[in-house]
Amino acid sequence: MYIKENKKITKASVILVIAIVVGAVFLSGCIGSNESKTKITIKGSSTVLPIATLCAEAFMQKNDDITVSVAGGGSSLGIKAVATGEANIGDASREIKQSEIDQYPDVDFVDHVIALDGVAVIVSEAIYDAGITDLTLEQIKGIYNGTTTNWKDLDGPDEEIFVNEREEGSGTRDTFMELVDLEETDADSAHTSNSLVKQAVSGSDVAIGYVGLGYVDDTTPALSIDGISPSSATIKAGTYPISRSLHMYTDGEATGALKEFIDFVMGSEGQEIVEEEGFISIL
Amino acid sequence: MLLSRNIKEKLIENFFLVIAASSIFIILFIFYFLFQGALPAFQNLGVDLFGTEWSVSQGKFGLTAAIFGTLIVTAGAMLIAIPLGILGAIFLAELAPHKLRVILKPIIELLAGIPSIVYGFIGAVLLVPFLQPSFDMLSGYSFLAGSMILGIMALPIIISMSDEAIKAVPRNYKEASLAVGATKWQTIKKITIPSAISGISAAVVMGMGRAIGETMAVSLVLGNIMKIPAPPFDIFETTGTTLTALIVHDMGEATGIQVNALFVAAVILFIIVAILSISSNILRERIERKFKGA
Amino acid sequence: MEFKKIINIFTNIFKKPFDKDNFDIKNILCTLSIVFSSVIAIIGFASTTTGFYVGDSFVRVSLIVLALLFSALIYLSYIRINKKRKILALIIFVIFVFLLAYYLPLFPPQYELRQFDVDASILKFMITSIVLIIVGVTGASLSMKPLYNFTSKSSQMSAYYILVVSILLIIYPLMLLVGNIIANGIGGISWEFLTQDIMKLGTEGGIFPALIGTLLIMIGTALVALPLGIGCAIYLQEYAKKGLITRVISICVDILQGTPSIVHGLFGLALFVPIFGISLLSGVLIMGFLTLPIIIRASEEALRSVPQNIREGAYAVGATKWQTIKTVVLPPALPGIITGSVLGVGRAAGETAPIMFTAVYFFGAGIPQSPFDAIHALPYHLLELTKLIGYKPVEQNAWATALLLLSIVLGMNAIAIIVREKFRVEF
Repeated sequence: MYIKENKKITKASVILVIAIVVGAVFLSGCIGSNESKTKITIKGSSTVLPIATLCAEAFMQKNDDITVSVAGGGSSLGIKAVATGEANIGDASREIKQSEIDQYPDVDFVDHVIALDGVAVIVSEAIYDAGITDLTLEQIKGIYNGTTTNWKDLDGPDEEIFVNEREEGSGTRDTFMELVDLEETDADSAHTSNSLVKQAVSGSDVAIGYVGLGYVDDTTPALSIDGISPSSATIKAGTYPISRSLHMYTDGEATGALKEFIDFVMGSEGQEIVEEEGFISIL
Repeated sequence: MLLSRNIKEKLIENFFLVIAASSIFIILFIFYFLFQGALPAFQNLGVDLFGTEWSVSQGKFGLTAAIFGTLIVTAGAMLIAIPLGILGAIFLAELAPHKLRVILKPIIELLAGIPSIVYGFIGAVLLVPFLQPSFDMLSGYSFLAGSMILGIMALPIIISMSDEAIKAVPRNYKEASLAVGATKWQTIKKITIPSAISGISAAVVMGMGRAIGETMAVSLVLGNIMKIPAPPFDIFETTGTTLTALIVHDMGEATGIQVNALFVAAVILFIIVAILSISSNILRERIERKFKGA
Repeated sequence: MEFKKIINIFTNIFKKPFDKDNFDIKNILCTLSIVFSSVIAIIGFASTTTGFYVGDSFVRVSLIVLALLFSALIYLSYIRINKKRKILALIIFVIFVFLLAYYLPLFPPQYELRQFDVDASILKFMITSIVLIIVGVTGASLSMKPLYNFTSKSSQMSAYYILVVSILLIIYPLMLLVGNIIANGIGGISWEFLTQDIMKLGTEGGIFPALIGTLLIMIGTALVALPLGIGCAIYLQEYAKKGLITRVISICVDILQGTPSIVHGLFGLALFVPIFGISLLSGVLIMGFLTLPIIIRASEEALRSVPQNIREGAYAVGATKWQTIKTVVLPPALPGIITGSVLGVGRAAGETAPIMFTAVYFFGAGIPQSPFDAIHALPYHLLELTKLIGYKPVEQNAWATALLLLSIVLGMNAIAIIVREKFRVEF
């Protein structure tokens, strides 16, 4: 009886092993079915990631013989990847730094600006209605570094300013801090997304915050800065101060499939995707 | 021929010895690479690593906020999981009729197998939107959400291991108590539980280890802001992160010294969990020795 | 305990009042109290989860009724019990309930904690529901005491009630989780979903590359972890003498088991990615290490359960150690080993952190052509979808992905349990 059970067990385990092996063979049959295709690898900024991914997808649909892979990792990693040859394209939400150019003297970084992005400074509706519709960059800096703490110092109501910012590591925060010339902030509340900042500002009567352009509406009106209000036009013209450009860097001029892809991104189809994602087209 | 058979046997034994030793090597490798990754941070930042400020742009990498977060969230999780877990184990081991136990035990085991990303997903789409209106919070992402999710995740481990520990108490202990007229509950309270306490402690330690090391689930329900909430016991604030969430959140985009700082976080986690595992191991050895004679 | 006994207890609670010989109004009141308290607790619980406030009048009336019931019980018990002290708990409870009946509805609709710098408010419905739950459970538990005349048996029944409540509290969130995933995800699962490529950041299309990636990881992990794990277990159980080496290996296995998955991920990032790049191979190696302790522990136990006399029988007829292991020890241990392996591979299918930095790309990895290519995987895909919730319409796909992943992992666990039960070899 015991021997019979042994046989039953051994039989079952043999079947299981065969199932695994068959499965492996079947799956490996799936592999290796797409042989010599041209490969493009893109790495870098997570801000550019959705644009790169959607463009890659649309591009691959039109070009059967090219595969495009996209990964994140940050602007710095993107630039480094292009320099070391790990990737064909490096995405960046900032311009390349001189130190990076110096670090890789043999690399010819070619810059392709593929989109524009603006950061709008929003205030609570009550503040806007009270007359605060325009501030200078200096005044905004004063609010965020703690020197100005009350709206009355800006000819507004006598209320403490409720200062909202984005979290460390946010691209939006980096852009804001750099262009408003801030090292440290003395903010009241940090949030992990544009929508949360917007919620905080709209839920208060005395708040200020900064968000991507697409999040502005009547409940959280945007301030003009030094007289310029944020819009596609002013950002494209470069007159609105808190804006940045999104880049794709290559090592040397792009040729062949690479050139086709970059042309696609900077062309009408790619730019349509750029606008769909809430950025500003370069066209 | 006998000689060659002996040699063959010896070879096979040594073959298995090498395989077994591989687990030691893996641990050593992990130690080595973690420390190697963390070393530059220790050298350049030194004690600042344990400061309270974390600012990538300014090169400040104080991990205290994350350590604090890990402690708070684990404490909260244990507050939920320990009472429920032990009570649940008592029910399973002593109260449940056999047919019910046969259904419940596999359910608990299955539930221990739910991937952490699924917990994270449910946390983000069910728990967080539930908490926000329920407590009038600005946002549901909070240490409260983290503790609740981790508590649920640690439960199956605590229940399974405690159940085993209670079941391992020799029958004659319990029967002796019943024989002198104690009720079943009195037996449980005064005899069974105290005897199983080592096993239950081991279960709690394992549960704690799971809560501390949990990554995906907790990172998706926290605010992930690297600051200690003000006031510190405010579990409703969005501010806050744990060591695990910090690593997973930043590693994708970190460069330079930040990467090393994240490795330091990993080293801290590894050491804490190693200590907990060794304690659990020691506790379980103690049980074996205790019941050997029974 | 057998089912019959439990049913007996239940029927006793309800039969006692109607026991003709032993008719006692106390028993009726007790049963009534237990049921009423439980209902209050259930209503409180439903209110917590649905956000629905039961109304001031309901709170007042139900609490007062409960208090009156308890007062009656106290009176009836008082005139019969010798040790009056035992009624103390009930008296305190009644006082509390009367106070709550008056004060609870007076709670403001929203009590701001922001004055203490805490970022929340206590909402009336929430505090009311929680209080109702606590009152209900305590009430029912305390009502057991008079029912059994305040003996030690009554303490037992009180405790049992609490135990049952705990197990319900444990099952609830877990059923909620699984139920929601099935209900919301089932609509998204279709043949297209399983066979189409990932499109538009995952908002459209299917998850085919992720499915393939996960299956490949499962197979690869098995190939790495099974030989190492089973070999290690064989050594620990069959060859090694209980000494320092075995203790050290055992501790190392424990540490490995407790190591957080993110630490494994960083380890893979530091060791394998520089060598193999972001690839299936890197992911599989790391996942193998993560799964190793599960397989070792399960195999150890399986081997341990084979009784010593089986081995001795084989030695007696002249078999060598290896021959013994191969022919006599391994086969009956096989179900246990298979169970552990299936559980381990199931775990590997669901882990995200180890593969996040070692094996996956955000987009475009496609079907790998060699182990050195990157892959997609279901858990990582679910992670990316979760991060997009609120920004993009990914809900349908996210639930479906969660359901698929859960099915695979729980399916593996279920297979493991069935294997364990069906092929259990009794000695």
